[in-house]
Amino acid sequence: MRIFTGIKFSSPTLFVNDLAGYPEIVITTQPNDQSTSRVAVLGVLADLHGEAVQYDLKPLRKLILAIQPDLICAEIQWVDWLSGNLAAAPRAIRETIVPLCRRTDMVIIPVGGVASMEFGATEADRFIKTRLIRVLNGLQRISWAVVNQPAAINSDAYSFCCNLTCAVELNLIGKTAKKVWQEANDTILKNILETISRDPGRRVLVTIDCRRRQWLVKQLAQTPMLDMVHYNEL
Amino acid sequence: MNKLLKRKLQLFIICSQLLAREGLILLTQQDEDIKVVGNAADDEAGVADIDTLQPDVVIVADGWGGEDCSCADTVKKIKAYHPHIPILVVSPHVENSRVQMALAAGANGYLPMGIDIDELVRVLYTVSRGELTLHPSLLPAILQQLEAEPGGKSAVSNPDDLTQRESDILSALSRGLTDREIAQQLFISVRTVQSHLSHIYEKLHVHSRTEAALIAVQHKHE
Repeated sequence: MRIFTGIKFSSPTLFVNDLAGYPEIVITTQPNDQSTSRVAVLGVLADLHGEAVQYDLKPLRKLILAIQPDLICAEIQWVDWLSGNLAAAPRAIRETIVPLCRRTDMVIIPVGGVASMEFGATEADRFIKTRLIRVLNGLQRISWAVVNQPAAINSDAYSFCCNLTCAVELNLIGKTAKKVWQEANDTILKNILETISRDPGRRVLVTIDCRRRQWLVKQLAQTPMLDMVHYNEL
Repeated sequence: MNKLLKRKLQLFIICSQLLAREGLILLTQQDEDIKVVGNAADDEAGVADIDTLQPDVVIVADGWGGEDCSCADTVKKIKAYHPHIPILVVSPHVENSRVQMALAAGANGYLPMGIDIDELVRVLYTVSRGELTLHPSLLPAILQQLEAEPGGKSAVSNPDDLTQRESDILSALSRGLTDREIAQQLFISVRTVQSHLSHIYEKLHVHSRTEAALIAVQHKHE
């Protein structure tokens, strides 16, 4: 049994050592035939406020292939999924997760809420706010160039920095942005829970903007209908 | 983990026309997980190379040799030596007789020439897993022909006995969708689809998806 950020994990597991950069990947060997779904949340780098960020997607691809969940809840809006236009989805989802799912038995569930937080300067009308947001964006851009491994993106330290930056930016932009952000979080949570109710007993990987990860993990961990695990133990 | 995902899917292409063959090689290799390990202009050269290369899937592209040319013979020859290697036929001919001949010869999939490259790649992966894959546009006609054949009726079972979810799955099945496509359409896992399918088979007293789809088509016409 391992403990990650206060959540207990217990499952029959198999160590996989053949993945470069992931010596400690652990995946279950047995299908989950119980009625309780196993759920893991994997934070991915989102596009930086409308600006696509270039980073290496190969580690993420390897990780998803190693995990091979039954269902992948991805931050894609329903309308975008139905229309086939994934331009608004994060690059990691658009360029790695969706293509992978198309060629394997993993099924994508679009769980995205309202449009992602746009940190435009419309509300940040003051000069100092705009400057600050630019600096924060720059810092995030630099950090993403360095921290592009799933393990690092999902580490507690990085999540803390990410959440702090996000909170500061939200405060700078104003109440509307905060409200939109929280509404999106709520919709995503509701859609995930609906997915689990529709198809219980499955291995579900939630791939989400890393800035939403901690909040979502906390909410899902409080839900009795699922078994919350670390993505390495799904 | 699927063994095919550990390395590239190895593909062999048989096509009599050089330009078309080269086109297929270029297009399929656009997918970073597919590697064309060999190609041949005819079945004789193809069988020998397949023996050496042991690809995961063989594409037999038919249709440039005129109306008399049939891919069924090529499929039969390859299957005689390599029964375990899945074969996907790509052909402009979508007549029932042609499709049935290819399937009877052992083809694991049949696609019309008009498909796009994404669909071809997706079907290559499905066929490589040993699933029988027909283009959705081909299946209803094939099923109707099967139904019309003597002994093809098996109306002892009634799809009305199925639950709503099972009916949805049977309906998708009769449209020629694979397990994965059904799962994606209904936003449930592939294993859940397979579990529903086993219940459907049990309720309809059938043993295969073709039989189940046949009952769905019959029921639609009643």
